[in-house]
Amino acid sequence: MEILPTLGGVAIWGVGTGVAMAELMGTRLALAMSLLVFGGSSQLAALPLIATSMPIWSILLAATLVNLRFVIFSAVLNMHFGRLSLGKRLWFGYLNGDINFALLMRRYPAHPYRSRPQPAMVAWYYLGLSAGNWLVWQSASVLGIFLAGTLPPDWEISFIGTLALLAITLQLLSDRRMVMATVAGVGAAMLTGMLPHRLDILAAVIAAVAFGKLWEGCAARYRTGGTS
Amino acid sequence: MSDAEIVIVILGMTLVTLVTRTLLMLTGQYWTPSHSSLSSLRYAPAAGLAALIAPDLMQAVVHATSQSSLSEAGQVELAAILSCIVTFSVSRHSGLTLLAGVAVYLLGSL
Repeated sequence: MEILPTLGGVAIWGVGTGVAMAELMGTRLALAMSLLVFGGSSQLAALPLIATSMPIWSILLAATLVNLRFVIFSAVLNMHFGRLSLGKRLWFGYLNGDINFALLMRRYPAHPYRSRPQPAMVAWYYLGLSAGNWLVWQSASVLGIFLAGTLPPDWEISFIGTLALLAITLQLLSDRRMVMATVAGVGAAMLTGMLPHRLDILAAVIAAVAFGKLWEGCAARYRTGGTS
Repeated sequence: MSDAEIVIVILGMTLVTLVTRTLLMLTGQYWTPSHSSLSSLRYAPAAGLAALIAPDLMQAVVHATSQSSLSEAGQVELAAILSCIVTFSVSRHSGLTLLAGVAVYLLGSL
């Protein structure tokens, strides 16, 4: 049930993306993009490149770079779902998104040496989150596609999408360590902000993970130092 | 860009999305990465999302503090961002947080 408030944010972000797509490429192509690509951040990164008729290879490169964080996420998914059939792995991976991955990590932190959760439980939990995420995102995006052109022109729907992502991000900042790691990540993103193709997002992810790892290493050393 | 080219872009992006999201699951071997490398990955999603919106948030601050014609719009955006942060720190509820931000934004934009 913890996904329910988050889905409100997903819905608004989806409407914003739908409006932006439909204004650029028309209803039919926007529907195809939403249903096939299913990736808010890469779709939003691609739209300005499509609008300015950049070469196709450069748009695909941008989409790949924006998606690189999911490669990191897929390592965790493989730990839980690596034994499933190829078809299932492809489906589970296709549904791999920021929101459902974050909530999966919160419920089942990847600690291989602690008690291992029942794989079937994890699979159902992940599928439930992902199906909710997919349905809400797609309905919102389709709604946005059909709303495009009927909204008052001075409504900045994209900024409301930003607010939605802000609400989701705040919810993920569950403890001080997470806050510090995220601050480190945003710092890295600002330092690399001049890089093309939103590579700053990947820099943020890597910096936050590295920071969290360092912090945990220091905390562990402090603890063992204290007990010996 | 022509419709046909956009179709190619859409198909290409579909493939790219599928490959990046499944890449380390494709071999299907059950491998267990080291404890520390995996547990630190929980820091990844929040940082990724924060970096995604950071430019928009920064732009609101820059506009709000500027002397240009954008300053009024920037102030409304900044007020909406701050109301999100305040609401979240009081309520810890992301739905309320979003409502507060959107309400301030829409009322301020009137």
